[in-house]
Amino acid sequence: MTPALAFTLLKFETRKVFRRTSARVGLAVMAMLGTLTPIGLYFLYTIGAAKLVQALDPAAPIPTSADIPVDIALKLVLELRSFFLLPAFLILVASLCVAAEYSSRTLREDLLRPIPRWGLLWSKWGALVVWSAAAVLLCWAPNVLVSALLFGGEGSLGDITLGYFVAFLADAALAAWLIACGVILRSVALAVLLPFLFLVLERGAYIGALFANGVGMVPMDYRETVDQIVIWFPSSLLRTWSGFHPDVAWAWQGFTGLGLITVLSMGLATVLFDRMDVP
Amino acid sequence: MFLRATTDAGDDPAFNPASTLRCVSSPTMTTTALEVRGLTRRYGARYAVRNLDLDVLEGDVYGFLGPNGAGKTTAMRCIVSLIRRDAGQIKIFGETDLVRARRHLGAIIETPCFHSWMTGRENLQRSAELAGLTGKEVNSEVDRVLERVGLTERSKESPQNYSLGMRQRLGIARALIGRPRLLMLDEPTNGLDPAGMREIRELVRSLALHDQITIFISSHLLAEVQAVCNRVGIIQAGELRAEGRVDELIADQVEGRVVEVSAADMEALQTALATLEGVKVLGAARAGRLQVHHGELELPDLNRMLFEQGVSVGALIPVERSLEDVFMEVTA
Repeated sequence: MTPALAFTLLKFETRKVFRRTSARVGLAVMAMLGTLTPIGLYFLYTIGAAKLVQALDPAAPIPTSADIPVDIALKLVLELRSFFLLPAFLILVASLCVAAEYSSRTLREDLLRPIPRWGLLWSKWGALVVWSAAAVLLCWAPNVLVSALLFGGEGSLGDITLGYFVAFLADAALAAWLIACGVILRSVALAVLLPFLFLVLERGAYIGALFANGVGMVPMDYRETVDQIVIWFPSSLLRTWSGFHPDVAWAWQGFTGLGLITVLSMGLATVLFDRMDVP
Repeated sequence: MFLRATTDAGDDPAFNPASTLRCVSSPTMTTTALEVRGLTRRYGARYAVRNLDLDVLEGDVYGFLGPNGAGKTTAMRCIVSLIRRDAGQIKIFGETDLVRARRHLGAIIETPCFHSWMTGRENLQRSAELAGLTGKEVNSEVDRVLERVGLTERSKESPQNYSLGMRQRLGIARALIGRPRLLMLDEPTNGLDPAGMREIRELVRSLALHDQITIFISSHLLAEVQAVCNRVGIIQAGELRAEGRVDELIADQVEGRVVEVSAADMEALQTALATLEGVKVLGAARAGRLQVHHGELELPDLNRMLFEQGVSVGALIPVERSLEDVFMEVTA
């Protein structure tokens, strides 16, 4: 496949993705998340906190926005975005890329053209990556701007930006995994429900394990073991950006996991897609 | 039974696919557009297509016939590599790499499907880009194919708003992008009303005659195929049962001629016919007529012999055979 054809395919699939309503709604939600979350936090911390303080002790000093580190707003948005919102939209958009096109037979029409199957599949993944990049930008830019405006600019912007970048890498890995799900399941309902269910269960287990460790539900002797296990959870892998926390080191397992998820998912998807009977 | 015709004749004054073949190339220079050898596809233990051999020559309008479930669509899907084949070789204009070969190929497999959130024109533009066209080529090619199928005015609407016939025409327009040399149409008139069928039939004829595209068309509408195609292959239970020129298949398949004979004295007629060598009474055609297979005997001779036996023949009406008769005999 020539670079020109690869570019054409990527452009073709990217246009298709960006024409989808769910993809557009996803981008709008990302932009709103980046904008509205710091504003909401601002009012919660200032007006809400002021009322609370006044109610409890009218003599106490009223907190202002300057009392709140900008990192809180930035991190909250990043966590909301990466842990659940973006994956939810990515699941929807990815299901439309593969499973919906299989069901609606439009995949068949594309495969009647002189293009290799693997090229089409990888361009679908590429289109999801481009969409994820747009989602990152649309969330990051207003998040940083509004947070800086409301809470001051003295935050760890570099770390936050790095966090967004790593979140983008996690999105790319998730997109690869979802492409593989689409190729294997070939039904929109299944390609949405099963990955969604998996994410909920897996993230529930991940959070549950962290929580249990944190509050001491796990006996002391096993806490380290639990920590060593959860770091391999996909949630943990998809949250490698947690490395920007001052007390958490970058986890090599996270990056290795991202790479493994991407390579294994796309490898498997390529083999299966090449052998797949298209109705 | 496997028939393969050798002569070149056509009887439709408006359209003669045989003459199209001659226009494209002389017999000595004929190129094989599609060559299929030993194509086999199984679903578990059941053979959907078994050891299928096909030869479609450049300029042919080739009808691929078979009853429902005979394996037509499966064979076509294998040919365009939408599904894997268990065995066999496929060449499209000599090319065995079917991804590359698709540069020469336009196809509609079953009902054409479109992105409903794009207009008809945008659907074609995307296909043109996938066909390797760039920049202004895309729009000029899309304009050309829209004009060719008569959809220019409705091209800015979503295909969802199109009638079935218009969607078929849009599908053909998409298949024509990139000027393919071989067009494969899988039951293109399925579900259409008579007017829609006629539209598609005229379009197919025009594409063969004016654009000189080799056409491979599957159908179980035999009158349609007889009206359009110069050669046919008949498939049943995944196996090719007959292949050849339409006129030759009809002539060969009859294995003699059939005539309806009427006489005032039917009893005497039956007695006389029973004495004639090579003549066989097939049954009563309708009231006062017998359907008779008269073998090598010419009609004037038959008339004379019956007269000599004292039978006064009222009428001798040759029964015209159709592709449908051939089809029924081959697939019986």
